[in-house]
This record gives sequence, structure tokens and C-alpha cells, in this order.
Amino acid sequence: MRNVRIIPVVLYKNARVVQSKKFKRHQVLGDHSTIVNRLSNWCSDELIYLDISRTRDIGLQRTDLKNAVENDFLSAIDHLSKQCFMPLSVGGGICNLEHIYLRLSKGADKVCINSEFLRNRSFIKEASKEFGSQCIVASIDCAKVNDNTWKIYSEFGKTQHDISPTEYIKDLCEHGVGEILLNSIDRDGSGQGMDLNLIEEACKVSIVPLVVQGGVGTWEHFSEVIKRFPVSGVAAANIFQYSENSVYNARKFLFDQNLPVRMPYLNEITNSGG
Amino acid sequence: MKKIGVVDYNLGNITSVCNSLKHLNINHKQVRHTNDFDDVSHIILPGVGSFGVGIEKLGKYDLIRTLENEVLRKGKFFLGICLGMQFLATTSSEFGHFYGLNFIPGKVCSMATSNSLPLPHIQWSQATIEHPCPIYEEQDNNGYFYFLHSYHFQTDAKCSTYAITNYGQNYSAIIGKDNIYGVQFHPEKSQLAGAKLIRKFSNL
Repeated sequence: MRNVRIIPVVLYKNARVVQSKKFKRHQVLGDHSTIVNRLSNWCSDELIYLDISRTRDIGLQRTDLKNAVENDFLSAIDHLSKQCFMPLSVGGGICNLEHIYLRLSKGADKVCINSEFLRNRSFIKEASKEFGSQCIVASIDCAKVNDNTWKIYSEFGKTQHDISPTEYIKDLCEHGVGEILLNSIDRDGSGQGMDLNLIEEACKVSIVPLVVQGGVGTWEHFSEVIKRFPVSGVAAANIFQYSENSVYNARKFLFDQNLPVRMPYLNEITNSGG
Repeated sequence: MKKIGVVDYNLGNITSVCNSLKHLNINHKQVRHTNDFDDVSHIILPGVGSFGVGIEKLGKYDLIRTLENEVLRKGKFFLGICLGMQFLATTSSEFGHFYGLNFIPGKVCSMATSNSLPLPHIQWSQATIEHPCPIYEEQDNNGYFYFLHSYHFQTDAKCSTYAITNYGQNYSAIIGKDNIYGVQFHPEKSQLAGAKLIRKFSNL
């Protein structure tokens, strides 16, 4: 049977965890280690960890600074994978096979790739062949341009591409991605609920597991999506940061409505326990 | 003294498995060459990726012969994880036709798919016991493990399947024979339920 994954997304920017609104405003939430540890104990099904540091914010294309930010994120992955006993997907700035290798070797299970797949379709096949499609996640950022018309964006929502989500998803599936992470820029950080029409379109064409995010402000927003669509996971960032036991509470809310999610429980793995 | 050897053959989630053993304070080391196995009582074979690439790498490091010797002849406890479990089979049809270790007779073949249950099977699913299993008991709240695979292990003898999972149809979740165990899911990524399984294996 289907068990929909409940997935917190943690946004990392210049060594801090932040929250995002419409891809523009970023507010610092704190230290990643504490935040991730809590999410792990609250029984998240998976964690998506995205580096949204923009090196051009810091320096003038200085490669030493660029490397410093990159290394900092890698050591963050290394640190997190030692304390999080759940699947870890990481993304942000991945452009070549070496980038993927570095992240997997630090303990990531999957990589989320966005802009580079739009620039270079053959990279999808290359990446899947080298590391197995099971660890290649295509992350897609969409925004509405008209009623029921969306376009794909890259570079943190700055560059518009003349391709619709459905065309692009078909493309990604053909090239062998293992999973798709679909985000709505319009709903990002809004708390107004997910873009149901967009999800409906995506579900019609995706033949790989689809995880959706963007706009969750209440647990009901999760349940309306799970009830209506065959999604494989629901993801959110901000809402999981605000309250104690958030993931557990979301799971319990959904489980109590007989929706297909893993049973709720809290857990802490200690050296002596288990 | 008990010590787990985690097989390092340049493929798979060695880091995650070692992190998990370290966190649980279980004595372990990484092994590759024949003499690395001398002081090891238990063996874990992790693995992600495709069967053909993996089995070729095992062969490259002479690990097929080493494992036959350590596991079949010396009788050391063995746990294969995900692809490491599938290597136990006789053959696999993933992207071609390949021969496995044949420690547990069976074949690896593609899973069935449908619109609401796409492949890969990526989710937490329950492992339901078929026969009493020394490394796993179904506990309240705790039967869920993290799965990530598109192929499954079809055992020849029904008695080799300790636990099954359902994703549209039933698939092997835990298989075993004598000192040999294989789990389709990732215990090192399965929070408390996974930690308990790893602990039980290390106590065999």
C-alpha cells in the first residue's frame, strides 16, 4: 500500500537555517544541528536539505569565497548524516558528477537538482547512469503565468523557461530521474495551501514518485492533497519550524483521518537504546 | 569478541551504515581484502545502485570468493542491505542477466507498477512477519522501514522469507537462511525500528 511521506524541508543559507517567502525574503531561524535533530526525533519520513546560499551575495565572483560556502555546506551534510537516521536529500548548486559524488560521500542519500537539468538535459541521464536513478531527484520550481498555465523557473526563480511543467516532467521521466520534487513559487511561504491545479497536472504525466511542496499553512492543506492525488510525498518548510513536535502532530492529524501515512510515534535513538 | 565488518567495495552507503553502528556503540570496521576479515565475527554488505555494476565490483576485489569462504565455510553472520541483500540471489534480470552469490536460491526481478504506486518504491512500509525471525520482531508502532528499490528478491523456497511488505503486491522484506540475512529496506535509515534490527543482528 501507499504510505505518503511527510518531509520537512530545511533551507540553508550562509551557514544558517532560514525560512523563505516567495523565494525572496529569507529570515534566519537558527543553527541547523538543533533543528535537524528535532526533526529526526519527531519521526520525519525524510529530510530535504537545500543550500540556497548565493555566492554573489557575498563576494564578487571570488572563487575562494565560493569554495568556503560550498565546503561549509558539505561539512554540514557530514555532520547531519551522523545524527539523522532517516533518508537525507540535499540540493543546491549541483552542476556536475563531482558535486553529486561529494554530497553522497558525505552521507546524503539523494541529490536534488534544479537549474542544471534545465540547462543540460543529458546531465540527467549521465547522473542516473553513474549513481543510479534512485538517488537523482529533479526539483522543479513553477509559477503561474495565466489561469492554468505555468512556466518553469530556475536560478532561484529568476530565470523563466519556455516550457510547461507537464512537458518538462515528461522530459525528466524519459531521461531517467528517480523522483520529482514540485514546488510552487507563488505559494512558497504563503501558508494559503498548495496549488492543487498544478499538482493535478503534474500527477497526470509523472510516472515516477512525485513529492509536492509550497503553501502549507495548516495540516488540512496536507490532507486535501493526499486525498485527491496519488502523490508519494508532501513537503513543507516553514510550518514544521514553528511548533514543538510539528511533524508528529501532522502525522497524527493525517493518520487519525485514515490517510495513508506511517503511524505516528516519537522516537529518540540513544547509544544504549534500540 | 564480536566485531562487525562493513564491506567497502566502492559502492553504496558505507558512510550511513558506519554512522549508525558508531551511534549505537557497536564495534565495527571497514573490510575489503581477505585478511581484513580475520578479526571480524559479523559481516554487513551494504549496496545501492544497479546489480550488474555492483557484482562486478565485488568480483574486482575478489570479494565473491572471500564472502563464500567467510560466510558459507566459516559460518560468520551476514547481513545484506538493499542491493547487498539482492546479491544473495542466484540471478538478477536488472538491466541484463547476471549471476549473484547464490547463498539463498532465488531471483531478482522487476516489481509491478501502477499509477498510484509508481517505481521506485520509495517510502516507509511495514514488514510483516511470515516466520519467527531472530533479528526482527514486529513491535507496536515500529514495523515501518525505509524502502528504496525497483527490483525485488523472489525466493525459491518459501521458508527463506522471514517478513514481507506490501506495495501493490507482497514482496520479500527480510530473507534468511542459517547464519545469512538480507533486508530489502535500509535499517540504517529507519530510525528506531532500524536501530533495533541492527542491534539484534550484532548480538547474534
